[in-house]
Amino acid sequence: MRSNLYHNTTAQWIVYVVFFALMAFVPIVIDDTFTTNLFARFLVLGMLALSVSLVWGFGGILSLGQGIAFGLAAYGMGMTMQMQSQDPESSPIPSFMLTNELTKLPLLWEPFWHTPTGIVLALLVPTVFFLIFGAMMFQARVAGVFVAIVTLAMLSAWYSMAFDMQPYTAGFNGISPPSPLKLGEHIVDPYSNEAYWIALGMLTLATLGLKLLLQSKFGLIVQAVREDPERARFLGYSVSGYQIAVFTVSGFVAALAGVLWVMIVQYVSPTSLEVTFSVSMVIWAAVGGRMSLLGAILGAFFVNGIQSYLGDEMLYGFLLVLGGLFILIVRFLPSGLAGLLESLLERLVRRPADQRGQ
Amino acid sequence: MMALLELHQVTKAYDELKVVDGFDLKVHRGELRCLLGPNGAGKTTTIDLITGRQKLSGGQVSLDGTVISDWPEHMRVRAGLARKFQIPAVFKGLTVRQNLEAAFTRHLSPIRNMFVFRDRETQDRIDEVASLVNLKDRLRVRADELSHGETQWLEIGMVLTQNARILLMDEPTAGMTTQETHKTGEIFNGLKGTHTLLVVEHDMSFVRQIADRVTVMHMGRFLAEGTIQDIERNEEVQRVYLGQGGAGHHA
Repeated sequence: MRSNLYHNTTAQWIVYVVFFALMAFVPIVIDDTFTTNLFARFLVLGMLALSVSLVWGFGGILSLGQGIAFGLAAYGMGMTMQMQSQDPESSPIPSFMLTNELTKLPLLWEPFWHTPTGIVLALLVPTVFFLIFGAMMFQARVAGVFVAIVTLAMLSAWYSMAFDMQPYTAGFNGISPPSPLKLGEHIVDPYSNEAYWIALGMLTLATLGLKLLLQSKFGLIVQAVREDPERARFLGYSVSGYQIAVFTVSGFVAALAGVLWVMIVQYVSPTSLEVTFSVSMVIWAAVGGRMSLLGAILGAFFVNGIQSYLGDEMLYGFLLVLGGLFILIVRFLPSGLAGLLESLLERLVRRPADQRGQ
Repeated sequence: MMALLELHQVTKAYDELKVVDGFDLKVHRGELRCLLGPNGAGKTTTIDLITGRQKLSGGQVSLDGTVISDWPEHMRVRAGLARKFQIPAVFKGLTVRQNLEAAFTRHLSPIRNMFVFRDRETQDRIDEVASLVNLKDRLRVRADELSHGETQWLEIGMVLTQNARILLMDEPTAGMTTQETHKTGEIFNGLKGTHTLLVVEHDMSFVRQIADRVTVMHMGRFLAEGTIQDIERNEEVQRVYLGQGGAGHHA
């Protein structure tokens, strides 16, 4: 019987809500702007692990391309914030374009004069891209490891583009908007508690929204498709339809993370589209438990916490640690840390009474 | 009376080899039809052709007068075909309840289903089917923890939950104990009249327990049709089965 407290939906909701409520007090407790900003970054990385948990853990789609949505959205937000510092009269185009011999603002950049349009585009473009990309893959019945290969190839293509289209993207240097995000007259200081709370609020909404989605019939069928696509098709469901939908939603969540990331770090470069970054997201989710939304988020906190504790001089050594951790998790804890909790609770239930339900 | 399911000159050929060869079949509403035949007679292929898992080389399949043989699989399912596989196919990582819930296909659209949550109607339907297939106490169990017989019942339950117009059952009693087989027969007898079933089977005692009419296939062709008594007396059928060790062999 798999019916311990871990599987009780009410208990899950209580844990989720309590967790996010407690997280709101973190900046007040630590009371240090640098650490608050660091924790806000972790929240955004947690959101990426969340998107991986949805698409891979629940959807069974091993996407190594979550960085595409993140990167595109990050560029969109970077462009929006850059244009906030430009003036149509005195300085109509960003300085990096001048050094690249552009005399006129490219058409691609024009919509980003208007901040709301810019933010909407930053979210919409990656989401629509995931919809089209997903439709291409899943209608052709690309599955299993081939999804990983195709998404990886697509990610590399976007990375090269961001890198090579120097006049439009500032290439390797990336875009660093000179001032923080302005919403109307209000300035969002990346080092403020407010920025942290915006990130936390968005992560809470995304997590609870996805949790609700997974409890719907849609969530059930997505998991059924993961278990046996052929059987789901014989029940009358369009397998590709569900895969495209879950892939698109995961793209939207990753895009939201991209927008928040640039709000918090005030910088975007091709590193956001690097292969190692997207692979790392998968590892965070695996460590925390890809079959648990909260588990995946905690996995991101955990791995990135260790990484920043060890510091920058360990940067390359850390990749080794990360790889080793991944192998150990896959070998000994396929459901990650959340799976560990699940079996501990199972043992607790079993000991006092063998057949006690929830 | 027009047949609910009609196969007309259905043919499936791999190069020279005809696995199904000009096969005709009519199944009427409320009927329980058994499709019998020795190994390699083309029974499973016929089911594949009806559901669209394999493409026809010739002939046509119609459901309630509409030709469906050029439709994709999921369209045929939407038109009312439900199938139980020979090897039980359930969602192993999901619980019995979730399996039945997935099979309760009131809405199929992904977008629509984002706003569908467990309701009374679904629960009632699941409970009703679960008790029909003896799985009432096993709803919380994950499907990969069920016994073989239970897995088969779960899949039968899934097919029932679908509320399809015709149920296609490919060897529903494969691997079951005698008791389980008998219980399955009782389930099927309870469905007669309200459901239309086409059952592929070669367990003769099971066929005797459930069948109204039996159609026999041999080498991809129609061989005989009639009541179970007619079929057991039919000399041609005896000859075909004698080569296999007699019709009663599997009983």
